[in-house]
Amino acid sequence: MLLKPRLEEIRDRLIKMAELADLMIENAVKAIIEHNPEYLKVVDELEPQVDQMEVENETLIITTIARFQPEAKYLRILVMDLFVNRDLERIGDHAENIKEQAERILTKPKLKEYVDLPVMTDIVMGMVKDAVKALETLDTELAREVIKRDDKVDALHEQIIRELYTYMVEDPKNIKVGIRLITVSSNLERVADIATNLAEEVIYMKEGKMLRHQNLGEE
Amino acid sequence: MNIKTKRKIKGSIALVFSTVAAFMGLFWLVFIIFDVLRHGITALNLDLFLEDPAPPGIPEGGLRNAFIGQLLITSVATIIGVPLGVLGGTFIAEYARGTRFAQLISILSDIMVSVPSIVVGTFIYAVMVKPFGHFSGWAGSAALAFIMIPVVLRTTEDMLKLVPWTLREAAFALGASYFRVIKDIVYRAAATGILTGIILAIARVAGETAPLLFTSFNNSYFTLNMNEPIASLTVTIFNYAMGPYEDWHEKAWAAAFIITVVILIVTIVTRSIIHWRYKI
Amino acid sequence: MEEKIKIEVKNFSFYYAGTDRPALKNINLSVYQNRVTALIGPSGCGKTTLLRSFNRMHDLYHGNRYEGEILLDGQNILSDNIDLIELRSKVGMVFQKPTPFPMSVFDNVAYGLKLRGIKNRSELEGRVEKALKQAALWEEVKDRLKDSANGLSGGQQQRLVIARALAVEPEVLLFDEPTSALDPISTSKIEELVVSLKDTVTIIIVTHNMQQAARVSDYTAFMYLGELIEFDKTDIIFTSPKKKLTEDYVSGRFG
Repeated sequence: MLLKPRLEEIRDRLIKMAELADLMIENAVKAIIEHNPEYLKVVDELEPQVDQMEVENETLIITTIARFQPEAKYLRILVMDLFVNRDLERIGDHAENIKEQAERILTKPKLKEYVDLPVMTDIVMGMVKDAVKALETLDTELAREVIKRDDKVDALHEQIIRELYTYMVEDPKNIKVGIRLITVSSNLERVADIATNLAEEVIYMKEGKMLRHQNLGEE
Repeated sequence: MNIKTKRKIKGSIALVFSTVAAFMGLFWLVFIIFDVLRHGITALNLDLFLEDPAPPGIPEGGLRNAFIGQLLITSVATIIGVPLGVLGGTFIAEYARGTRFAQLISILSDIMVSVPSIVVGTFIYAVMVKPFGHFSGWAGSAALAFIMIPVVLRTTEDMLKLVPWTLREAAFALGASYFRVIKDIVYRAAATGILTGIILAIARVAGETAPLLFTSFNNSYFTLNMNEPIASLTVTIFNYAMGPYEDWHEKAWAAAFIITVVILIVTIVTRSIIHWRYKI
Repeated sequence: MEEKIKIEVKNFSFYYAGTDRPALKNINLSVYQNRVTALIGPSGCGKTTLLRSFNRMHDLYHGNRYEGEILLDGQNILSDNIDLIELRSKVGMVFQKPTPFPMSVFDNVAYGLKLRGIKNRSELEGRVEKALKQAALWEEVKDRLKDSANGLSGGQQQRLVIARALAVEPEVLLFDEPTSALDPISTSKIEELVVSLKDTVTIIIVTHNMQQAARVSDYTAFMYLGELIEFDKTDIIFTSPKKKLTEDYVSGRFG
């Protein structure tokens, strides 16, 4: 099989890319939580790298499809690789969004000690990491588990909005920072959605089942 | 009577005729072989191979001179005819492949194969016996070689042409010269076929009488000198069978038996080699 | 990726005996060292004719004519003073149908070495084993080296022929539709072999199976009616060729 080494190369590159996208999110949020703009430099550094990788991976995947004309399992894997590639790039974009918000948030004094935001970040990062791990080993059980965690993230997002809302009602001066923090939370919530997508893509690769827009319970 | 019955009757008639024809052929073949065996076996004894002929009319002695003479003439013919035939076949199948010259030789060989052997005998008589003034073993061998060459040449040519061209190209691609390609690859691939052709050619000339009558003639005495007339089985059979003595007739039967059995065995063995090798 | 040119074809034309119409018209092409270059195109486009020019196989037939230059490491192999035997030991060839010689497996692989005067038994054994291992055949034949090569399966025979070519340590290996007579499993074995061999030799492969070219090659040359239409990285030829003719052929619209 001449295709196998190519598939492995693509997977390795995607995993590397996922690590970079992860680092971007982690540093962008850390900058806010620790109120330290130093972390944002990492995001700036990684952003062009991730973009570059996306283009390279896409070319690699398309040429692989063109050259090997895969069928069944390998076709699913390669098409999903294409989606995964784009998903990872979008995680990078969200990190970039968070970074932009962070720059503004950091011009003002810290609004409060963050409690839910680190928790949410941890869960989202865990989802992305596990989705990538599931991709690495085509572990559909892990993928299904990742999908379930999305609800928790949604709940935390709601919780953060409610809490910031009280701060903003209390003192309109907090509105500027409050809205930006809500935007950060929204971005994180989107990243969790992407991690869910990744997990669904892993399941499709392995089993050929489309799970998108469908409740797991009905499966 | 409808068409179907007509067809059936026609079919049956054709079947009967062809069956009868086949049995006619087979009958005579079996008859000849059986007759040779019947007469020959009774005349067989060890003296036949160990003794030279006794003077005419005396029922003693053997045909040692003829056996050895036959062996000698045929061997020398083989030594002359086989290399020439194989090399000639190689030339027209390889070096001159596809040229008009090769085609010409090929056609000439085909004609030569069908020339009556007595014509070959008279030709050799004219060039090798008449000028020297006496019959000789050499002339006999030359006549047989003359018959062998076109047979071996054509079989060699056919066998070499059966070797796929890509096999030669593969050897060339490894950097082999044409000589090495022929020697190492082509001959090896065609070996069984060529060998079979050679054996059949030997078997064929071993049964020839006519060309020897004018060339090696006959000799009642044992000799190994190829410059003298030399006895052969076939000519001896001819002479003895025509002779007046009962004892000669018996010896002719015995000689006929030996020559038939040898040719039969050789032919069967080579045919089974062909079967085994080419899975025909 | 630094590419080194192994063979350079310059203004090369080829005429078969008795014709004035060139079978190959003014070909310019670079073959890179330790890469697989595929020649593709519809039947009669001249891809095999070009391939057989690299080891001057056309010289076996009278009246064939070359024009232009084919440079192997800068030396023009079309010049008259080239020793063909030496050229063919540098440029090996594998044919469409397996061509095992009528001898044992061992003697087949050793044949090229013996042609070069190597007689030392242990050296022969060492090099035969090495070649058979390179051709991924050693495990299958090590216990029957003395058996006739005709007893091997088609796929094994083709790998044997590859081993035979490898034994003389060529610099370039030419493959002329090496899998067209083989079943799919043997085919994929040969394809993997071709790719693995490029570490040691430069490979040029002619194939009418476009997907095969796509799978195994690093560079692809598309030929049509005796002309080289497009030459580029295989990735580019099969995703975004520059010429419309190439695109049409690769998309399966003709040929």
